[in-house]
Amino acid sequence: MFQRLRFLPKGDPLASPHRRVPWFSLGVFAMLFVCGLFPGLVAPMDPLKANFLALNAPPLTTAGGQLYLLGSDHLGRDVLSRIVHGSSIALYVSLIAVLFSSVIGTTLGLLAGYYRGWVDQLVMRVADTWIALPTVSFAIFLTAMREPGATNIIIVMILVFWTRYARIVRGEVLSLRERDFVKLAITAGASPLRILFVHLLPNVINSVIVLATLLIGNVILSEATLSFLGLGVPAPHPAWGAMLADGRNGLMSNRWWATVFPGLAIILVVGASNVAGDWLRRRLDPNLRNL
Amino acid sequence: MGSFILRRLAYAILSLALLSVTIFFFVRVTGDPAALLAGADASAEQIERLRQEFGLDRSIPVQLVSFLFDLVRGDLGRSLFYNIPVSELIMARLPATLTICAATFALSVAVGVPTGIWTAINPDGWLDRAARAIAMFGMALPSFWAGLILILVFSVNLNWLPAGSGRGFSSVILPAVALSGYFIASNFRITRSAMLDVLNTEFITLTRAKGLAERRIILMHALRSSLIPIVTLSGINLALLINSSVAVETVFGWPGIGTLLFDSIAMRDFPMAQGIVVVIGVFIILCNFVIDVLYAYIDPRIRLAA
Repeated sequence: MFQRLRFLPKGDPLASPHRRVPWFSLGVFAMLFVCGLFPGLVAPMDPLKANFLALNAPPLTTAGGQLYLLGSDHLGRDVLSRIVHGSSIALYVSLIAVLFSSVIGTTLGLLAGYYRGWVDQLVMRVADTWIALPTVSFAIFLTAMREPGATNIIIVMILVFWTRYARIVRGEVLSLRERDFVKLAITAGASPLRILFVHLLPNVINSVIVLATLLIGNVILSEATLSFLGLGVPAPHPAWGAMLADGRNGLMSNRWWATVFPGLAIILVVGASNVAGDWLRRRLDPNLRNL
Repeated sequence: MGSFILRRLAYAILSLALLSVTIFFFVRVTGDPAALLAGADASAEQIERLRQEFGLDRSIPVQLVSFLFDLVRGDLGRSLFYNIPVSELIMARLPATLTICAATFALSVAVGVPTGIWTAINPDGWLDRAARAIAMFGMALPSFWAGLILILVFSVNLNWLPAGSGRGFSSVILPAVALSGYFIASNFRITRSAMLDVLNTEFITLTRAKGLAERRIILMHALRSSLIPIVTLSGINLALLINSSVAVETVFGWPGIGTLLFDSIAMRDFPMAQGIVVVIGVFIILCNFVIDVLYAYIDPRIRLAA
């Protein structure tokens, strides 16, 4: 008994399901939305306007009456303003990709779990294959076929991420469909569509919300990787990954600010998405431990 | 066990077929490969000639069958730029990629798993708090950015390690460390969580009641039971590792598959890009097959249920 008590983890999520609200992460999320929706209001300068009097200015430089808080890049564009405007690309890509993959994945997961049989086999085998799809390589490949742009990234993200929803939703539906309320609904003559969307969907929606929160960060990270490789929104639009690619040339001459700050923006947002997702998971769904 | 392996093998083959068909249709749905190969200022005759040369004028089912047939024989076509078989190019570049992937994997297990075990035995200690905070950071860390920062600190400012490739062991260090941030963090989290679960079960209490040494309980009994989630995660992380390595290879100019793929776009070398995606997909599917078999070896319940 005492031995077991010794190992009862005090700080473990299972021991304290109602952990304190992660205000910091929610604040970062709020900032992402404000910056992403109204970049023009937040950013101090025009993100595309080059200033040849302030090339590669270090942080806190004042030039032409304007303060470059986080410095300027090789074309004299304000790093802070570009980060703020970059958040609208990150937000746009992640929201669209997460929305579509949630809808597709949840629907297929519901169908696979409810009908089982060949539907289940088909969905799960495709999901198995596509989870092994080398995302970045596939995006590179897709870009070789088409022009680079946000649409490519969104397509690849949807292709990969719907499988996560399908897996989790299917697993939950498999056990839910054996429960009495579903059996009773069938006996009462409810149509399959009604059972799927009125009875089963509300029971899996918590997991879907948790997964969506976790995936926002994932998608932003992948989007940054792809735009770093030049596969995202074309220049001069300020995507975070593309800013890092621009900043690479200055690295050897120790111009760290063009590399450090956009990276910190990515870490903040991705970290916030992870923390908020973990917190939601503990609040909403203690059974969903990992992934 | 035999039938389990056969079943898994059948799934793996099915996955491979699905992957190839996906790639095949993507090429043809998203654009006209012949027009792409010919370039922007090609005439209609040039495009038509290329279409015949690559067999793109045949019907889709015929193309699909010949595409799959070539794949089975290991024929990935010829590179347009180098004009040698794609498979030869890939084989030449594969060792470099495998080197950093193996180094990253070793590093992430060597650091992540012991830390996870230690913090599960001593939850809420200072090491646990520090490790969890660092892991939170590691999970959000873009590996290519980590690579840039490592170059900035260790190559540009301290001048300790090379920022490029070709200097033997010392040039593996920075790319491997850059790549492993996320994987150390995720190995640590899964080990800690799995160990905490196992340490609270009755069978561990029983081993204590038997009076086994604590060291033996942790390493022989608890760790063995925690292996399943750790191995599962490695399988999922594998695809991620290969994805991230493309960007990290570009940062360090590492002569692996990633840079080859990246260059193939700049050179509009579409057979090469297609070949590399197929090979990477095959590699991931094969590794997952091995992991499935490994599972059954670790946990008899899985092989009996199947």
